[in-house]
Amino acid sequence: MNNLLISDTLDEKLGDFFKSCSELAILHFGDNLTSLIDDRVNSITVSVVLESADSDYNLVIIYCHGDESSFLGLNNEVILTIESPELIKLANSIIYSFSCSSGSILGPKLVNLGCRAFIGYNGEANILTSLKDEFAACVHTGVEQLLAGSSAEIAYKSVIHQYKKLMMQVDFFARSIINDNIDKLVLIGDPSSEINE
Amino acid sequence: MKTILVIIDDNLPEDFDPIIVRSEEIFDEVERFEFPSEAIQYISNNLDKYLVVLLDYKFSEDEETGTQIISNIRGISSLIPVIIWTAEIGQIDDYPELINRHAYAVHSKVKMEEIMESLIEAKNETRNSILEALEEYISKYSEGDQQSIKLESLNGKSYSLKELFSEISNRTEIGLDIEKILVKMTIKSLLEDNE
Repeated sequence: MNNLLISDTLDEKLGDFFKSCSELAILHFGDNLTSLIDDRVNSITVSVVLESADSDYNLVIIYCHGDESSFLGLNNEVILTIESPELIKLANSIIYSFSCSSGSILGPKLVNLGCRAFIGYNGEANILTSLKDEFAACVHTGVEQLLAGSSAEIAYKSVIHQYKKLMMQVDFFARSIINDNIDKLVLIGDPSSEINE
Repeated sequence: MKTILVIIDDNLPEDFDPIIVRSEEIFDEVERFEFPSEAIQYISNNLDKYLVVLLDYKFSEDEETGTQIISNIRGISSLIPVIIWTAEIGQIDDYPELINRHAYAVHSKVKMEEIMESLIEAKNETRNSILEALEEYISKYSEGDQQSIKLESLNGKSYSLKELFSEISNRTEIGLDIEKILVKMTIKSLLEDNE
């Protein structure tokens, strides 16, 4: 089974952060990863890649900006919305997203379309640039767990655990931001889902 | 950050008036406005400072009442303490309206000690606000870090610590969101302390 990474590594503000978050999946999957990064994070490429996919995706990782009903790519172009016919190509996958608000409408829609599980945020998630590596480590943890064969629920809980560990090391302001991310992190779909290696 | 007393009164006290002399000892600045519209403009332009308002209740016939003016202030900020003072306390016939608009206190102009007590209390409460906590937090960073450390939202927006402070002061959407995030963490910390 193939795996898909969509990561807006050229984003002016968070490109480096998304790049750092993506490294783990790129290293782990090697040739078994369709990697849409840099200038490939545009609506045409995403659409062509999804339409031409000849089998279900296993794990889909999405690191880009977003809102309740869309993922946004390079230059904030909408690359996938709840209306996109290609969404059906993500059925049967586990989706791990670090995009704003995608857990409110887009996530449930994907699960309705057959996605096994969706981990993402149902509100505006934030990071502090002074703690970029630490936030990236929190994001990594979820993917690490999924790659190690853990269930979506364990992956989801491990991200929360990692966030809580970070909260103990930072000041009140940063703690507040992390706490808010925890509150907005959601797991939709079947918690027992695991990726198929 | 400066704490400023804004006096709005169509019969403004002179420089040597005890209310001015004593207020100048308490506040960093005392600003006097004869016309409410000018005061409202001043308040709008200075939301990034700690403000306390001392507002006359009864203006001349063609001016607004204190109740209307406090409504205008509440349209700008719900955080600014507004103390009503009046020459004739018996003239006030709409206490419920003042309470609804969160008047901080109502005093007769002759009760100087009570007025001063309320002004000091209001000033202290203002300075205990979330803004002061954030200001203290931000001041730990160098000027450069205050500009370079940013809150990056995954909706694509980005704010330096200084910009966040300004957003909270000006009660913008992101400012209110951040305030809510900080209050939520405060309550959580308090609850955890009690467990």
